[in-house]
Amino acid sequence: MNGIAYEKSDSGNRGRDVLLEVRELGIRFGGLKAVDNVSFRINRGEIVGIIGPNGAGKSTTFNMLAGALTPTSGKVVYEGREIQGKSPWEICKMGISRTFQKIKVFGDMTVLENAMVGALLHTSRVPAAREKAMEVLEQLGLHKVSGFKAKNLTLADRKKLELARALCNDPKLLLIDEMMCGLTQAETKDIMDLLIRLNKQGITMIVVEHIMAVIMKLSERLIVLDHGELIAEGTPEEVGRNEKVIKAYLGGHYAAS
Amino acid sequence: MKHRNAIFLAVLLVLFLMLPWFTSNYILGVVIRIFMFAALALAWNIIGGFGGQLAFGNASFFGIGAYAAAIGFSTYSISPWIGMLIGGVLAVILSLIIGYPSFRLRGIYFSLCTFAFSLILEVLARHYISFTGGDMGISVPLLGNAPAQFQFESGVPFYYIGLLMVILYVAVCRWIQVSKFGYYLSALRNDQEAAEALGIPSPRIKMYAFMINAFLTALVGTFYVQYTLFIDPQTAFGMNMSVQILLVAIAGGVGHLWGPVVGAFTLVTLGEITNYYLGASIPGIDLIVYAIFLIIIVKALPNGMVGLFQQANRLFSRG
Repeated sequence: MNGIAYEKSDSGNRGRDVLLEVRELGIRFGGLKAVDNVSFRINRGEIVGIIGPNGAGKSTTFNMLAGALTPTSGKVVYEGREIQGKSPWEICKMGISRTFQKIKVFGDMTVLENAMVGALLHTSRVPAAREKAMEVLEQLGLHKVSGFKAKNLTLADRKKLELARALCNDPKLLLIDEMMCGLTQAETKDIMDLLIRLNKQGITMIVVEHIMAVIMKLSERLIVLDHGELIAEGTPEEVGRNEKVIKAYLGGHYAAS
Repeated sequence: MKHRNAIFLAVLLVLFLMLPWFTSNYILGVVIRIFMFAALALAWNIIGGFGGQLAFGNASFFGIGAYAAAIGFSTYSISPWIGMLIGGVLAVILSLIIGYPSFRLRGIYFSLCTFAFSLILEVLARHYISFTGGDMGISVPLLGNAPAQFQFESGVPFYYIGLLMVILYVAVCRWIQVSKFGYYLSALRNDQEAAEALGIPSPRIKMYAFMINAFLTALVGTFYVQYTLFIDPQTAFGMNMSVQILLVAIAGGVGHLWGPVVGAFTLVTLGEITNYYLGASIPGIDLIVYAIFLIIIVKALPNGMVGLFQQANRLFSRG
């Protein structure tokens, strides 16, 4: 985390170096094209949001980046290397970590053990992993519940734990899938502040989110998908004015009037 | 708490070391059976308990260990001590053949595959009579006292070898539990998708656990055949053995370090008691009573006997 903390200093500069590039990515399930010909770039240090109506292909795209799905066409280039079709654990080792829309904490294990599993990525020494895990839990305010079984946490804390676990991987790129759904406004703000803080520490993020207020505030840049295709890209203001986006969200006749 | 556990274990160990001096051959035989099933369930617990992968055909490995020693000794004059290692290696090879393809799939395929292979091995052992003796089985030639050939006149050496085996297996399991490997198995049991996303290569980790399970199970097979001096396809590869291993682990407490030991003690003792008091009255009644007790244990104690002890312990500590 500390090693790349400096690079954030030139944020706002659009010419920053590219961390991840998606080229003409597509996937079909049988006859259905779920994602088709999607291309975009993620620069180092950015927070980029992916939005779109239900069934737009957000989660599918996301899962292809994380290695959970293998694309049928196109490329994903991360730090100059092609990673499409690699296994989730290989992608994780390269520095891309993720959270899940449907919470997937290790329920039987304690909060500390959950985090330790993440920290064991870069070490085989269990005590070192424990130390690292405790540090991250403290940073996220989960140290007080470190001895609890993960299944006994509140929803907000389980979501934070997923984040903690991923952070223990020391990722360069963090993929966050619908983290805010089901949370209260206070909890949402709490996690949003956390994400912004982590970003300032140098972690690049791709965020899939349903809640517009959150994504508009969080993202420097938005990618809009509809019916598996990329229909718009730009700053939140640009995207908010885009006719295609309004049409996709509200239906054709609103845009026409 | 830790201190108390250590003292408890030390006292238990001394008791077990001294047991052969003041007990009958009958009791000794029962305890040796307990050791065997404890060891078998300890091995299964690594893949089935820690890793959460339902290996349903562990009889395959048990049988390979038994037959490797028996055939090696009676046909090729290889010492069963060496036959034991050969059996272990063959079992590991079989575990690779089963695990390599099936750990790449999700769902029930692994369980099915383990089960299918135990059935296949039973048929093969029946069919290749010249090699395995077929349904007649193999009787290992009796040599009297021959430690170099893994044969002893009394049960006492078997008792100590069995005890050593259980201690070693518990040590292996403990080591796995507190190592990175153990954390990874736990994570996989809880949620494979999340585990993979955190960098855990699931097929490889499961494969290691399955190989260790196969090796340790095969060693018990050799122990069994040296102790009873007889093996046949039904005993070696039959479903009965696979199921008994599972029952011991489940009754004791799946995934818990001591579960298999407690489970073996409970079930073997229960079997002996029902057989002793009821076996001669109505045919089959002992098995029915045994089954009823088993159902009660599994239904009432979802975490096995160990779960019961833990609850009792908690009540005690609270005072």
